Amino acid sequence: MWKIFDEFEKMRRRLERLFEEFYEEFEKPMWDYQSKCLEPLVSVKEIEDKVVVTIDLPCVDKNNIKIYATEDTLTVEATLKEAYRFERLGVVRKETSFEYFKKVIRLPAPVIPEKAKARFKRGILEVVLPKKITGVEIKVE
Amino acid sequence: MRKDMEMQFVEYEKKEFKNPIIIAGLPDVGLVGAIATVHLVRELKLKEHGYAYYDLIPPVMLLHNGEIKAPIRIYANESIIALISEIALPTQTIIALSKKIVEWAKEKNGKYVIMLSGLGVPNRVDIEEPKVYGVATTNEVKKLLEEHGIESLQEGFIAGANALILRECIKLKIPGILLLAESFMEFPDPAAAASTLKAFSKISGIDVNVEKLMEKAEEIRLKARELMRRTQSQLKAMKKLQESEVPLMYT
Repeated sequence: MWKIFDEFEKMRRRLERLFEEFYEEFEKPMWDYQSKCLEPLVSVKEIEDKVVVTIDLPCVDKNNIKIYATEDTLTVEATLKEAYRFERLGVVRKETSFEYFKKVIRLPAPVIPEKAKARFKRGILEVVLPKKITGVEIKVE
Repeated sequence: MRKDMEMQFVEYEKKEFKNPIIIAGLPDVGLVGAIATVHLVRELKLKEHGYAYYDLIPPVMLLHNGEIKAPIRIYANESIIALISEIALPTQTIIALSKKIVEWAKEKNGKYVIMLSGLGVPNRVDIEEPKVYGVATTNEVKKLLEEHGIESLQEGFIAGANALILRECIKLKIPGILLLAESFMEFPDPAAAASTLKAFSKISGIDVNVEKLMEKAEEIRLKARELMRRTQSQLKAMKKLQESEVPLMYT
């Protein structure tokens, strides 16, 4: 019975991800004027038994990055070295400044957050999260 | 086809060109071509010469200092014509634009069509200075690459706008050169753009200083996020990932 629920859970994740991608791609701006927050570019890949999340964090110092992981999400928050001012943002707002990046990333498969590893190089944050393997080995007869 | 349905390059004034080099830096992998071409336009102080007009260009106009500008613009001096796009381009527009670029190069008696672009590599984060590879349509330009130490790509697929421009160059017998720098696939890559410009400087003899580009690299990455996101979704539609595949016939 648990396998059926597992499949439903997988399907739910896939659908959520599809909706998120669709929404992000076409409508959502990559900044929030009120909270002074920018959304970073993110790439999520499943490589064998790992989920690899790569995040572009320009104008950020390694010591100002905070990463939180659960079984199915990764949250990244990074303060910019200095508030970044857009002299003109959009048609109406002038002189807007942004202070940090933030993004909650839904992972494509459950992971073991305690075993995650991260590195930051050339302004790129790479987080490698081992997948939580729930299957059993089947022997070939 | 109705005239107003065809891609047109509208010029603000008549200009005499002297065997110009045509540069196409369209939004693509790592926005390498777009970043490089915008920098080249600024560094060489090219003047805005015209814009692309076509019904299937996305319905967007830009405002700069209160002035309305077309999203695909042409900048030039007498020996260089550079084409930039500030928006991600749908496949239909890319097909028409690629044909028009090469037709125009022929009409203006162009010396070469040079495309600046990126080649997505998985280990880019560990690469200090991205290497540039070349693809040339004639033996003459292949030699030019060789003479300047630019290694030619030997096998693989080229997808998207560059593939179409190369195809048109072969058809209309205009020498075409594609310069591809190792780059991030999904993130704006100013360092890769700088590498393509260094290679461009070598083969064209026109010096494009990249110091300011490198100084502003982080700021460019910050500003180019939205264009990168939109470009990425267009690249998926253009089968750009096929570039990492191996062709059957020549293996």
